[in-house]
Amino acid sequence: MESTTKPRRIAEASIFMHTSDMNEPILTGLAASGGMAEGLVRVILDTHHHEDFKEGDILVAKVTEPSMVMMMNKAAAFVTDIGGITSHAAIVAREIGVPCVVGTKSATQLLRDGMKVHVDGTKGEVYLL
Amino acid sequence: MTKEYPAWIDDCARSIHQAFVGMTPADWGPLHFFECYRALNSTFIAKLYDAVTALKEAGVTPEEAVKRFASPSGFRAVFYFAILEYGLSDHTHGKEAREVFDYFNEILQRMFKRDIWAIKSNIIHTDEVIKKLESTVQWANANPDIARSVARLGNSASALSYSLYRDYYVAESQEVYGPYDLGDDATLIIKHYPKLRPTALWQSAESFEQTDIKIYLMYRNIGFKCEFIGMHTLYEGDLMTSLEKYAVEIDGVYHNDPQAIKQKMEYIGELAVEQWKQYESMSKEDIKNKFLEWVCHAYKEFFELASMDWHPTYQMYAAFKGKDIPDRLILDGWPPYEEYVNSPDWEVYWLRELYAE
Repeated sequence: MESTTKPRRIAEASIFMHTSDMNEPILTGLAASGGMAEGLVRVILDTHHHEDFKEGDILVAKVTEPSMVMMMNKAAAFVTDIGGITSHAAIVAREIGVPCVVGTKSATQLLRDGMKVHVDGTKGEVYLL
Repeated sequence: MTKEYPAWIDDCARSIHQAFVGMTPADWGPLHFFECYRALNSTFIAKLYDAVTALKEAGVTPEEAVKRFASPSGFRAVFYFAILEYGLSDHTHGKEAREVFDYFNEILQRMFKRDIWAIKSNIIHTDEVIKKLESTVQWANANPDIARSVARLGNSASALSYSLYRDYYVAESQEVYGPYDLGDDATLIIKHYPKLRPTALWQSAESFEQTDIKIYLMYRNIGFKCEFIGMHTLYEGDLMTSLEKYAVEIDGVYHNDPQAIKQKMEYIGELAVEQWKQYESMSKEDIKNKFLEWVCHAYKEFFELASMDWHPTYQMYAAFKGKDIPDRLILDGWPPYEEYVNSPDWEVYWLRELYAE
């Protein structure tokens, strides 16, 4: 376990450069974009834009679609059911500097709107807080 | 040629396989593209063959043809699609297909300075051009907040590109070039979004404010590589803290002010969302016809250079008519490399067979 340091907020997203003691991850997948973030889950099951998606929410989807661009530009992290290292979510996450875990298989089934989670994009893990 | 087939086929195979294993083919749409090319059954290759023949007869060199493709990755992609169409066809147009592939290989050789199939990089600018860009681009100093805003603008432009061209032809309007070594651990990456106002494809694009966006990014101490499609970027290092200078050029005008970047990011992102909604009102036949337009639009300027109408031919429409093509590619993943290059189920086998004849 890495040493715990004081969380450092970056830009508008709730991205924390620390690791704290936590329970076992609720989900694991492919570590597609490094870094860590905490926020409230928003499960997006369609390709429509959701006006109430807030800055710092965690975008959870089966896969991301370009139609989700406005939400992706606000999200603190992405978690998807399927995807590889050059899937849409993975590429966008690396470009905009947010953590991303892809290929979890069941994120949209296990996570619910409003759950607070910690996303470790470096290890490919998602923790329930 | 060192074997029974041209050497480029091996590089092409390695590049395509490397790129596809990391993607999510089960999600590609809006149609099952293998079935689309199977349905075309070389009717588009016939159009390409006519264009290549006309260009050769007119004495147009590949050097001139290169200029008709705005995105090198887009050209690599449509080259691959042409191979796929031949492979999935009844193989009765082998001669025509070889003529087209040989001509396209000539174009690729002239388009790139090195790493033609983008195994690691996507380089088309000469050292002289890069030096000139270093001194002529209107650079602004970056910080992590601006780095993220600029990246989000790129995400918006990319999303609009996807909305206009969908998964198979998206590379027509987005490209990432690099890495260009500037010395002292500095690296230049250029993101280019051409053809963002394709009025020949979409009437809705008439009202778009922008046609072409270039984002210049000067990093220090990062690693960069890309794949077959340049926008499939892979980095080492923190892009937010490593960006030292940037420039945003939209239709020849610089927009480096953070507020202007945010406004453009939101405007273009909203265009992408609105454009995406159009698919909801399109019938399956509308989507099939749009697919044929995408197929041809990628070569619009190329066909015009050959004095041909760029639109799909009657034969292409006839080949598609009545065909039940699934909405999505149903494929869980890509086969291992050895299987990919040796199995008659895949394009590399067909290519080798074609050139061995």
